[in-house]
Amino acid sequence: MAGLIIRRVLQLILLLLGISFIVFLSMHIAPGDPADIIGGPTASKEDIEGIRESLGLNEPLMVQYFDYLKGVIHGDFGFSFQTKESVSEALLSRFPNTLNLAIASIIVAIVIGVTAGIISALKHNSWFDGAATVISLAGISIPNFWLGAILILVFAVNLQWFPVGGLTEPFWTVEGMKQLILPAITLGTGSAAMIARMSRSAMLEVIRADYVRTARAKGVKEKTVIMVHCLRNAMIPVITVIGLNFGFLLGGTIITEQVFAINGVGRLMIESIAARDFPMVQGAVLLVATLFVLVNLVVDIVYALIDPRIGFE
Amino acid sequence: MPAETATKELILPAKKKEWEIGRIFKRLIKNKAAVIGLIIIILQIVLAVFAPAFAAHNPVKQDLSLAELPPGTDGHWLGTDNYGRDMWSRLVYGARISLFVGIGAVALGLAGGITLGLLSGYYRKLDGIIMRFVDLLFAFPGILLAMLIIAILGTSLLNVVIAISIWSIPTCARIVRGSVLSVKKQEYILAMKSLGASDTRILIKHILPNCMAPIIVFATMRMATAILSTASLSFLGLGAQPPTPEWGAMISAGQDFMWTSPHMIVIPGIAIMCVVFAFNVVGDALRDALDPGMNLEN
Repeated sequence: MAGLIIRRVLQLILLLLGISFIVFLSMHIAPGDPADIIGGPTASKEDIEGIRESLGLNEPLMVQYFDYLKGVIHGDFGFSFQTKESVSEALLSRFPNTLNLAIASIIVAIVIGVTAGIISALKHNSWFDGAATVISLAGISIPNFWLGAILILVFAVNLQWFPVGGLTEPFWTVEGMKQLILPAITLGTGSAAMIARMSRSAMLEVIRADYVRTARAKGVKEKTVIMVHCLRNAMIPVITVIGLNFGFLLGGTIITEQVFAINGVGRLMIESIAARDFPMVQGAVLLVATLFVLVNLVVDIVYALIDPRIGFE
Repeated sequence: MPAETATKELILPAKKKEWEIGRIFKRLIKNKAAVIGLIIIILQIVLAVFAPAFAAHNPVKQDLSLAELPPGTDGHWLGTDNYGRDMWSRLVYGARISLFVGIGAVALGLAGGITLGLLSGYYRKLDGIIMRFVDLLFAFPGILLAMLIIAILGTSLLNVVIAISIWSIPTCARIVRGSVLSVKKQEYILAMKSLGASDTRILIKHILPNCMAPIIVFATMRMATAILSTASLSFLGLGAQPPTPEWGAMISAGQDFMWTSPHMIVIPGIAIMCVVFAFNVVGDALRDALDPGMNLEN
């Protein structure tokens, strides 16, 4: 187990270096000189040269990369071309909203997905199973930005149960929860559908296993068979899907934040792409990608803890 | 070898192939959801190809006197948008954009993914380098990678195609590599090698055709992802720009008017959902029909 963790952590470090290099390179591949963007149209040649010098843009590419990396390790992502504010501070101030949204969405996805998947498997080939299968396929196919707009139209505008958008109150308050519910459903629906499909197939596989038949033959109560013998084993692949989905939800927040006007990292990124504010885009991409691989690492380790066979592979 | 036997050998595989396709199609149409999916896909293809014949009006022509007409209005059965543009005509041309962008993105992604997958699976020396590159692409959530690429290239529909195709490369490469690893151990490949066939010939003529089943399933399901992602990126203003009648951009434009004209967002949303659903169910059914034991989800 320790070997597996060490191996995965080493791989993670290499991966993070690769991610940081791609993100760093993106600014150099993009058309336009950053110094021109910062200087603006009125800047003289001398001004532009001064900016280039101060940013270290005249240094060789690898020197620039290591300077960038050094900054990133110390939490310095540079400063915004547009607002001149520190990228780290801008990201930090918006990150809690993104994280709250992602966590709320994965909770929605787990509750709906696992419940629907298990009931479908237990009532295999019933009307519930059929309906859940069709709904989960529809759930994967619904554009979440559209679902968000429809939810706003129905529940915020017509019924006025929830606010139209924004995430300004702390999530533990009633108002905060109300603000979080519609975005969480919007973002969590696709993942709920995927988790439901995985839970159903994993559960169906386990229900037919010999040891489950043996448990029933021994006279173990049906509830115990389902909760202890089936669920525990069926959840192993489901946990992986949940973990992977949490990573994807972090990426998915970008769209949901835009629909619900939530001041998160995703919305900041879209605004920055439109303004060609590269340091901000780089910072946001680096932050989300790092979290994504960290979540995957945790999933790998948890998976190995639950199923010790993984550690020996 | 007598000429007759040689001819037989040439004809038999073709006949077998026809039989195989027929068997797969029969299995496919047993699945009711897949049949509905196929009908939707065919409908989209027909609408996309013959868009000018189906669209009653110019999809970008504005007429403010006809703005925000509800569905069911004479001459505009799906109503009009805030600029008085016919919703049905925009929907039909949107079908064309969504299909062509989807095909373009998937085709480019397949080209990159198949090449990398074949090389990585066949040549052990290249495997490590290619797979680490693939791992690196996998380290970004898809939409994030697409947005980074668009941030570099700029916002346009063509750049969306490029971004989505790059996003498709790692998954495709892994699928193809897995198939190549199992196919290259087969005896007929060893036989081809001992007969002196070149690596290119073995890869393209003998290994690739035998990896087609998972590639077809991947391509079908990827169409769904490509269409959905194109719409998402256009909704964010990073893809199609106004007045292009792209479905995601239509929803984005309709958001400001959804209180007075909900049909502006409801109609294109249903269109996206139907098409994505269709490709998903057909992909699912194809997977079962081609190889019941194969499961991409796992």
